[in-house]
Order: sequence, then structure tokens, then C-alpha cells
Amino acid sequence: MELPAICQFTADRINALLDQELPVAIADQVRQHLAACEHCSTEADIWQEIRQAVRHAYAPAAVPAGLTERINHEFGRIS
Amino acid sequence: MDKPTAANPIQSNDQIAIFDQAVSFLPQLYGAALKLTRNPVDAEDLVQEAYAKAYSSIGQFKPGTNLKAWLYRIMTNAFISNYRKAQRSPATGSVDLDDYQLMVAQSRLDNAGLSAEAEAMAHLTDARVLDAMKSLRQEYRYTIYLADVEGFSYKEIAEILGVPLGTVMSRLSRARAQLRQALQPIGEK
Repeated sequence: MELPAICQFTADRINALLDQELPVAIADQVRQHLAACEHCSTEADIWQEIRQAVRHAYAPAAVPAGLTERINHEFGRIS
Repeated sequence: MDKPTAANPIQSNDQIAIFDQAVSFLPQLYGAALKLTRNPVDAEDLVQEAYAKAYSSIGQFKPGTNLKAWLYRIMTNAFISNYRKAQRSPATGSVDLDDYQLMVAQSRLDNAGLSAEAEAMAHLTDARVLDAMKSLRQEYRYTIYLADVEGFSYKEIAEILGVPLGTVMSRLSRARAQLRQALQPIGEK
């Protein structure tokens, strides 16, 4: 099924929106459509998930809260 | 084995195996039913109805064809036919809504597929992402890395790579499309 023109317009700009690279007026237009269209907002979710997954895959693993303290305690150190 | 009757349409051990396999698709089918009906009670009814229909017409399933697709078709048809009945009962006039109903069902199912993809993308492992990234051409991989991991703007990436801004945008767009393709769940199609 062919996408309605506004959905195609949005699809071409979702990543630029997420990258904060769209001119304000166009960003508003895209956001407005995302709020109204289930298809396009799910598309935006997918791109957002991919972006986060990439960031996570390359990021140094975050140390869980309190782990450093527990390990320090384990070794009888005071940090 | 007993002769097939209306109460017992199962004719062979093969059909028992087929039905067992059909039941293993329940989570996916229920998910699709939720997308179609948009409420858990109706979704449950719809799935039950679909399995009842699958059970009574199990002899029509051609072994070796796609069982999951067969079940989805049965459920979609059941949804459309219920939808028609619901439309017909209050006197709504003589408008033929068939195409519209099909479109509604189709768009909800399309979106169900899309939601499933979003769900899958939310549960990617780092290893899977790194593998997918490695499958991209180096310049695509690096451009995504600069944008998503390092957080550089398009203009900064253009400067880093020594290419025009337009090239960054088109490269990023192709790179992202390929990455998404590479991240598609395997064996789910």
C-alpha cells in the first residue's frame, strides 16, 4: 500500500528530526503529524530504538548504581 | 483413530502436530488480535474464534505451506466478518463498506507488523548491533558512529569527513536504512 504524501514527507524527515537537524517550522510540522499518525509514530519509535541501541552498543558499559561502593566495601576500602 | 466428525475434525497424527504448532503461534496471534480489536476482551474472543475455525478446517491446511500466514488469514477474515456484522446490526444504511473495512483491517495489521519491529528493536543485544554495524561499508558505519555515538551535528560530520553537508545527509540516510535492514529479526518473515 502506498504511503499518503504526508507520511512519506514525514518518513523522509524522521531521522533529521531525531538528530535535531530540522528547521523549526518543519520540525513542528513533522511532530504534529507524528502525534496524529500511528504508522509514523511507530516508525519514529523504531528509528529511536535503533539509535539508542547503537549508542548503547558502543558506549562503555555503565556501572550499576552502588556497585562501586559495594566492591569497595567488599575489599574493606573506604573511598 | 476415530473417523472425523464435526466434533472431531482431526484425522491424523500429522494434523495433531499441525494444531500443536498452530498453538505455539498464540502469542503472536494474540498480539495481532490486540492490534485489530484494540481491546483485550475482544482480542481474546477473536483469537479463540480463529483457533476454533482453524481446528474445524484443519483439513484445508496444505502441509508445507505457511501455517502462521494461514492462521493470520483466518483471524483477519473473522475480524472483518465480525466487523461487518457489527456494522450491519444498527441500521446504517446501504453503504458498501467492504473496501473500507479491508483497509482498516489491513492498516491495523500493517501497523501490528511495524509494532512488532519496534518491539524487536527495543530488545537488541549489543552483539547483534555491532554485527549489523560491521556488515555496513566502512564509510556508512563511521558516519552512523559519528552521529549516534559521538553526537556530532551534520555540519561537524561534514567537516570531519571533508565532504559536503548534502553528502552527509544522503550517506546517513542510506546507512540507516541498511542498518535497519540488517537488524531485522531473522526467520520472522
